[in-house]
Amino acid sequence: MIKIAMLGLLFTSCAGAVVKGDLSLKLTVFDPTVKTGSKIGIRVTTTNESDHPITYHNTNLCNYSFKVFTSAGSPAPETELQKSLNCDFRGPMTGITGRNILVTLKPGESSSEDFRLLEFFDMSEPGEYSVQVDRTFPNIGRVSSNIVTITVTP
Amino acid sequence: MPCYIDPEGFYAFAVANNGPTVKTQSTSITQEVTSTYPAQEYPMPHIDVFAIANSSAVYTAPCSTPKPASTNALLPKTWFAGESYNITITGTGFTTPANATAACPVTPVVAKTSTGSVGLSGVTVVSPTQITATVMPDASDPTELAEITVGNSSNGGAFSVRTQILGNQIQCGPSLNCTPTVISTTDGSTPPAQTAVVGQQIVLNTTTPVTTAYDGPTLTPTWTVGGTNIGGWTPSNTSGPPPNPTTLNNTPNLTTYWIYPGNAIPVTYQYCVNIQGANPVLQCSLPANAAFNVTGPSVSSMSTPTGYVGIFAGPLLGYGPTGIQFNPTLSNTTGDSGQFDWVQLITNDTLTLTSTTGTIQTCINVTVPPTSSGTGLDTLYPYATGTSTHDNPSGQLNSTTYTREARSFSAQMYLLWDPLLPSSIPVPLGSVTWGWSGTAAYSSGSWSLISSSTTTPSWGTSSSYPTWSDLMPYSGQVLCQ
Repeated sequence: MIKIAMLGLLFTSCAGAVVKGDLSLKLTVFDPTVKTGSKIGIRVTTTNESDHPITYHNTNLCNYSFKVFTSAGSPAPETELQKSLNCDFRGPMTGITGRNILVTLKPGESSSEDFRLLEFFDMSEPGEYSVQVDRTFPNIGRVSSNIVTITVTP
Repeated sequence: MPCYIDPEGFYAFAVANNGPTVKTQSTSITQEVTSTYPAQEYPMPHIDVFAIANSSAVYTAPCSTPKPASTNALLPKTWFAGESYNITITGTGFTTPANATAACPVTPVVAKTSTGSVGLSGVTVVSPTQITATVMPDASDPTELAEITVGNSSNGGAFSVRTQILGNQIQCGPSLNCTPTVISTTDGSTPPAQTAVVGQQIVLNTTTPVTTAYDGPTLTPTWTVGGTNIGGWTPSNTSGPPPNPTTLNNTPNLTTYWIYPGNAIPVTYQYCVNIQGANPVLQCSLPANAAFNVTGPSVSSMSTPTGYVGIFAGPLLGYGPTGIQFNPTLSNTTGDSGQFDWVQLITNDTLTLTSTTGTIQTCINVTVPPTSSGTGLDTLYPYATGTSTHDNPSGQLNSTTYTREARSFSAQMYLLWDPLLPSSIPVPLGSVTWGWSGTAAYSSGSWSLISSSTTTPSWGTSSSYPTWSDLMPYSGQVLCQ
């Protein structure tokens, strides 16, 4: 799973105390029914549900942890890219960033990122897949999204 | 056995091969003949018919019956719309001007189509076995079967020969929503300009048959597409290949994308056929011409305010506190439609690490797939979406392991725009090259910056796509030597 390698202690400035529930994650799928092999695009939208601004950083693919299950409850196979991300790795250079986008959300504001699931999971087998994403935000904790269903047809 | 004498004004009689009983009749052409000849003298029964001029005899006889030759009764049988062809009809029973009478005029020739029209001129009945003419299907004719009729069915009879007109029309694919569907002209007139946006998938179809009805396959279908166009672009996190060129040859249908705006961008289509009886045999259609007005956003300028290289809370060595911002001034935007995509390529990211034992290592970030390049796509495709973005790369300073950490970083940030239409692709608007370097040293319990530099950001408008073969996931793994 894509996991957090490093989160925003980087230049983070949070106004006010943040608590779990201050941020929400909403997962939407661009096309809930796709033919096998077609792109499966999803959008992760983070919304500030609090009454104060919240700042965090979007850095690497390990920011998010996607859970993809088949209708039988089995985890969908990971692609080589997903395996090679090695989000659990910890070393002396852990925390180095290339992309480092500072996101500040005012109360009620949202920010979203798009992903192509097929780059991370093998969903070529026709059937129904359920997808959920988690993200751990500094000073807030782990936030889980809604679950969406994607139907892959032959 | 009846026999027929033609033309009228002749006195007719008949002799049967077995001894005639000759009857003559001045007002009828029908004579009854009774055979009395011994069969052995004339093994095959036949009747000889003689006509003798007799001013007092008047017969009304039917006209001769035109019949087509068993092969190649019409050449050529395939005609391109808008082109003229000298055709030859071969058969028997054609009435020439010399043989024509008031009752049996020169054998007529008529050309018919179901939807288009064919100009027919210069019809000449050269002989009872050959007719020549010139045909010219209208330039706007579609591909359809046509018919040449020779003779008159109510006077002597007629026959028809089928032919095929090959039209040349460019039609919009469904996603373009053109009305009418045919958007091309072949008569040299200016085609009506269609509207499109950059990055929109343009699918154009033609009516070119794979094989003609009478002259074999169609050949060398060829498109000419103006403007800067590509056949597609399929990036992923681990691969950003160069865009596919538009397939212009040997395809009757076209899929292309324009990546620059432009007015009256021309599109032309033409194909050929080896036509038997044509001169030369290889004949080609008139070019079908279409035109597109393509719109899209552009960047008139790019503001790139920057921060500075320093030691920040963490402690971090980085380009902060907000790094570099990318704020384009956009023009010709298409309202709220479409999406701006940012894509960043790392062109250099080298770490020089001095360990607490004094060992100096040069390291690069591990890529996917693993290579020694240390360059590639920064983190993911796209880097971000929206009309602006920023970056402030940094790295945790680790005094447990290192006493000095240096980083040299350079990147190229591309801005692209995707109309977000079905099967559309992003098109590049330009890119910013930028970079920084810094060296931090650990001493007396704290890190300090001992050197730094920045590369002045430089924006360039360009239709060049970013290309990469490696992903730099920045998951913390480095390759050192």
